[in-house]
Amino acid sequence: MSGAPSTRVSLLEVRDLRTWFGPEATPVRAVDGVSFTLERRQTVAIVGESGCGKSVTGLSLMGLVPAGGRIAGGAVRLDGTDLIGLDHGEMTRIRGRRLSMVFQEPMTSLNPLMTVGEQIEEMLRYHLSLSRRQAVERSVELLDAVGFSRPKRLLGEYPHRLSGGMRQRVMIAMALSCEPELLIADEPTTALDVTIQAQVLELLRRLAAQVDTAVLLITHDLAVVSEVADHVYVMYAGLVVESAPTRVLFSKPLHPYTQGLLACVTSISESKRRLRPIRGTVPPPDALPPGCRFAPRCPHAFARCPSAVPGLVEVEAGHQVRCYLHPGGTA
Amino acid sequence: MSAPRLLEVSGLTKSFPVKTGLLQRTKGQVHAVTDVSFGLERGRTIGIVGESGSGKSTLAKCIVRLYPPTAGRISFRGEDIAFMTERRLRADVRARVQMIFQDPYSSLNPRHTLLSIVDEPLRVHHRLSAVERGYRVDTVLERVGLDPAFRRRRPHEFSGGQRQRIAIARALVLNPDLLVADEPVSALDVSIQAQIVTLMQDLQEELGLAYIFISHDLSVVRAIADTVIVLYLGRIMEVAPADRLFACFAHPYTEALLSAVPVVRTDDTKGPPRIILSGDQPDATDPPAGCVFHTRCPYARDRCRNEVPAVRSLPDQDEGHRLACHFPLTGQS
Repeated sequence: MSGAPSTRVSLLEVRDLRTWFGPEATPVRAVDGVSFTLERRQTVAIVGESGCGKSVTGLSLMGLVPAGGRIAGGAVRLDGTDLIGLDHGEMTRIRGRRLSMVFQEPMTSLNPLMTVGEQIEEMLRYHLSLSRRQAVERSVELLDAVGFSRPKRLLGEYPHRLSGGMRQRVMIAMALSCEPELLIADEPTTALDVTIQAQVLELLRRLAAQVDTAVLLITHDLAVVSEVADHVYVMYAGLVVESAPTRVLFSKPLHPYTQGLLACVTSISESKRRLRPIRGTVPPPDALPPGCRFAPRCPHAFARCPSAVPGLVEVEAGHQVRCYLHPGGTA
Repeated sequence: MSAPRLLEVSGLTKSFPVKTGLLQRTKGQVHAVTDVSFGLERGRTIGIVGESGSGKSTLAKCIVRLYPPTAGRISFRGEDIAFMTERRLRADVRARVQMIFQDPYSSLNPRHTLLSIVDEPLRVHHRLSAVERGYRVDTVLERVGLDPAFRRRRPHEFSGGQRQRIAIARALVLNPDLLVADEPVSALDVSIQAQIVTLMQDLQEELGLAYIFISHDLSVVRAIADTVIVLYLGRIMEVAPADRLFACFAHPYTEALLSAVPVVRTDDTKGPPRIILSGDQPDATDPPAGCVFHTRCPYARDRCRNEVPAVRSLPDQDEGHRLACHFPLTGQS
């Protein structure tokens, strides 16, 4: 199937993205050369611990790099158009319309001074030029689609009156309001109870299928990833260290970091037991170790690891790993 | 007569008055915890699970007597501490019952050094020389995996996982019998979660500590608990030995909760069908009549709407499996 990848343009193609913070001379390299692709209707996950650069990657795609940071190199092509060169006005028209984002904490991304209705209608009127009446009608439909039993009444509510799960559903309704081609969901269920998480994941899956939206899921929760993603990229200290179709990654993880993450996952089907934690913590991006960035925490590290950052090599079709234990491929 | 259990909670109830208006008239009551009973032995762990708003944290705070309960008994080492005076609590109980919280960022004083944070309980509870205290602090820091060389550092210089280690060190320095941990790993990354859970297991083995481990994450509770309590709207829905609860649950709420937990799959098998509960938890100021879960229960019948089910054991067995349901599920295991 993937014999001739260049015949069709991927929905999203990220090439060697570098997002750096701080002074030019000694930059802090939060995202340090990340590449991935996303096809239409696909759900792709980026996983890793906090501080791995997953969220900065998501924000970079949206053109929302936090203050003090800059995109130092690389390309982000949405349907062939490079987003990095776009000016503010062009990006504003794409953001929300073709590309939208849901964040972990919906309270900080909803405007506390505007009602739910005003916030959704604003998007619809700005991007789709709907009339006020059309926007209200569409808002009601959207809120109904995300599972609110009395959507009309909700239009007049302020965000602080809603529970966490309700706010997250409002965010999803807003994010999907213009039927974007790509939805970036950054830890969309992390702050929610499992029962609400199940509602929200089900909703994302159903809506993505209905409106043909591709989803880039950013999370540290491997169980969620295994349930919803088609393909997974594992990030560590600003780099992709392994990438594989979901089933392959979970049944045959190759990178010691991926193996370590999987060993830490607790499961409701396993009795009281000893976990096998990864020792140590993620290095801060301003104090990266030499060579392989995982080497200081890696149980298999050997003399070669600190010499240079290993390349990302393809060990079999669609499965790439950045580790000297797997020197296969062409590197 | 055998020695009393370490902890025996019976009929514990806590409600908060809702006050409104200029005169702060009491308008109603939030029924945070209602009629909760359970026991805990030394060296064992009881897990308490439930959604946010289920009363988990209130229950914990009552047990360590940060809140005075409204009614019930809390027998600790054979003595009822539910209504004990603060003076007696300080003398007999406080040092033996310690608590750690979810957010190690807000539970540690940012202006204090590691040394003074861990040393403070010793200064309050014991008359020891500075040298002796220093020795005990160093011992406990090493025990929880913190380098005593960091003792002059302040909380912001540590990572989240290290801060939780500091909180554990501060709790352990008094050699408690019982540690109440309220969502201790929920704010941490998976790899750090595993480190903290493993540390708690090691400490339990070495020191014979008993834990009350509160979490909304059922899979973490499964890894550490001997017995699990499922709480909903402040009431016990089901309680059983962990292996039994996860395999042979009989309460519809437990079923829904477990079915909602995502599971890592390495093949294309599907788990049991997911039960998506509709709606949100009811308001605790006005809990539903009858069984509190009936408004979201897929199996609710008339009797559930009218009659409160008592917490009782299943007829065919007595392994400490109790539940509050008129129509327990059958057919598991």
